[in-house]
Amino acid sequence: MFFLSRALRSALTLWAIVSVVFVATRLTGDPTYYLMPAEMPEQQRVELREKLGLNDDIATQYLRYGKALVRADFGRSFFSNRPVADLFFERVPNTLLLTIPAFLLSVAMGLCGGIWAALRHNSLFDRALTTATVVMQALPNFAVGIAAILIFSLSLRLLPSGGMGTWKHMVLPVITLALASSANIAHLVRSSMLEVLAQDYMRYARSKGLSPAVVVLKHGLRNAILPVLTILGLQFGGLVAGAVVTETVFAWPGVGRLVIDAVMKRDFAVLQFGILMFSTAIILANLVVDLAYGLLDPRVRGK
Amino acid sequence: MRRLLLAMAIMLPTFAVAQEDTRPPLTVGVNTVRSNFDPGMALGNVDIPITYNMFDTLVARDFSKSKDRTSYELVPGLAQSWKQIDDRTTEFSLRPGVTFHNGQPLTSADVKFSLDRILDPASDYVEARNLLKVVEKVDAVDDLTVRITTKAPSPILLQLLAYHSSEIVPKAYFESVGESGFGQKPVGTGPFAFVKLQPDESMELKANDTYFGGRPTVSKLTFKAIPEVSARITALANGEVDIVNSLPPDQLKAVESLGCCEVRSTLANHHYIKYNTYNPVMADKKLRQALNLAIDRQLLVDALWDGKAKIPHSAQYEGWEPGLYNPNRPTPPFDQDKARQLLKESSYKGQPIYYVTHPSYYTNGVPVAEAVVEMWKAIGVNASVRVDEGWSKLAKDNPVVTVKNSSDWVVPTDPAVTLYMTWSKDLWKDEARFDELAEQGETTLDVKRRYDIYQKMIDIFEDDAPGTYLYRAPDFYGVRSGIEWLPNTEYTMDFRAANIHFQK
Repeated sequence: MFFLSRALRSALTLWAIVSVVFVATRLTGDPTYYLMPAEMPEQQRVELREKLGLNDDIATQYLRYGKALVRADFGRSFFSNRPVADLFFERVPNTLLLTIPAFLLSVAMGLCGGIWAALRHNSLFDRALTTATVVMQALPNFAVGIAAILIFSLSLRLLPSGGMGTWKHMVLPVITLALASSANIAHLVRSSMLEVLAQDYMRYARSKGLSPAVVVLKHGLRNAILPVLTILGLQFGGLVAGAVVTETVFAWPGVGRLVIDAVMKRDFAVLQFGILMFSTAIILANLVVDLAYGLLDPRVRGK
Repeated sequence: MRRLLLAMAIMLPTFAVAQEDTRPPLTVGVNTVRSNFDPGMALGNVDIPITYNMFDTLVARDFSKSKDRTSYELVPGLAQSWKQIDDRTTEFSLRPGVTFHNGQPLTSADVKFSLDRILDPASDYVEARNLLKVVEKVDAVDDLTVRITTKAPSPILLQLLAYHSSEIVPKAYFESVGESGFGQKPVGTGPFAFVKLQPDESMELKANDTYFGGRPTVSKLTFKAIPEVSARITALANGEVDIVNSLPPDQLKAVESLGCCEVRSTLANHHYIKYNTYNPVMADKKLRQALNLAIDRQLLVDALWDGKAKIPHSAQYEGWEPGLYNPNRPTPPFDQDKARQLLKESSYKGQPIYYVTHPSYYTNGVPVAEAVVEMWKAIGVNASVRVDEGWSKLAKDNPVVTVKNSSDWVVPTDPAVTLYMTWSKDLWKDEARFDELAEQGETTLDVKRRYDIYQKMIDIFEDDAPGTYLYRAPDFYGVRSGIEWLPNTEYTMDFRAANIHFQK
């Protein structure tokens, strides 16, 4: 029952998102200005719009799109004339090549940093980390990315400035992507851990003579991790959004670039499919978080 | 003796390989690498640098005859010669022995197929078809002879055949892989052959050593997509790429100060402004003439384009067919006193005049608008800038539309296109005489008569002042020092053997 209502709510959310994107993109621009030069005569443009079905009113277009969706036909790109699902899925591996290492790195850095800062509450390290996390969360990642390019590729000549190829190409974009999200995680782990450390059961565990590692990791972290899990779900969404920007800065041919380019050129079908997939991924991530809650916290399972 | 021959036979292939290795690879940083390279479709300014190096046209355009690489001299391409059969028919003799990258020989069937696929009204090639709309039919006379018939006599057929949308594709291969298959794995006759495409990342090409235009001087040509300007410049500084395109004018100093690299430029198309003469505010031609006289174009060129833009001799391109360009026509004068005088004589009573521009479509679009508006205020015109995303959709009956900026359509660079398409059927009310002449010009083949027609049209344009040309905008490229290479106009990056050399 829980699952069914979840699924229904998710479907409704997706429908709303796609509808908003559908209408908004059509209100803001005309792809024919990107398909042919602005100087082309108007009658030419009308002919092209007719061919692309853009002369019909939005309701008719929307209905046509809906009918096609039922047949799992997501449409074709105006520009490459290829099915949008092909365009999207052939780039998913490239994006995962960035987001998975970035996600793991941000969790690792976030957990270590957060726990360490909590254990050394009010130490110099704690203050430095807190300051750093605030700075990192406030900095937009295109700025971090460009700064990283200037330092590591232009000045130090250590790493390539962009593109995909060797592991060296991955270093800057992965770190750029991981930084903001690790700062978020560290921040939350620290405060959650501080709260847990003050609990009676922690004192009890210590007084039982358990080793500090067991106390912190088994008794402390397991309790502190629940709010962090929620954030991890959100972080995933953040990583997808971050990938859109990071892929542009580092010329990485992933789905983020595909979607950004579709926004610029008003390639409606690609954009709609991209947003649909991003939303589905985020909804799924949140579902996984909910299920993980149950695994980690018996109280949630009982309900 | 036999031994010697044997030894030579063994060494020959190694020698060929060794020679291959001495040619350097070349990497070019571009805005983006799209996913379809069917030359009938890939006509964006981001596609042309790539397709131009993979394909050829029947008639080729030689850009190198003018120092700024804008000339439009027509020279043999895949056709080694052509002759006019009658007013409407031209016969082309194909160059024998040309093969596509897949080894298939070029025949008249490929030429017919290439053009027919575009002319088919049901096909996806809307823009290419519009360009070739003068063509009635294409006939293969024999294996190496093609006849092209136009609907009416057309003075611009050869120029159209020299444009990228008329690039020749192999019929058999195209039919076997289909339109979208071809776009992803294109096969042409050009100096470079397809190796690998990763959309938004890179396009890798390799030298076509049997190219009819000469063995390439570059072994491997890679186009790398780098959308961010600063990242593109960094890649140039690092040596990750050898050449970058589309540098904005405010980044030229940054590139020059790198030490490794130089800025090179060519001229693109004219930027102009149009007055909406349907709008009562703009109805008096004395006001329009006054506005034209009040613009200090040289100041725009120097302040915003690093002095590299060029003020045209009115509505003319030097690249027009020889005999059409009049070098004695003056550039638009800057004369504030005369402008004030004309303004006083006009019916203008201080109504607001809006200069409408898109926020980013044209490089320097907004700064130029702001500067021109200040120049108009200086002679007492109540002008202001209106930035509007949908600027090209604003119609003549919209009261805000008084002045609008744009750049002209130069495919091909012939007055039949650059003059007519720019000024007709848009915001100019008294265009009847101008249009009438334009229609005559469209089907006139005689150069002397065409000269008279188009010069008369420019006189009418100058007098009625439905707008004015500001400058011909430059296109900037960053190039590693030691690479002898020059960019051509209209985004054409040519890496054929004649245009690129490396200093040892």
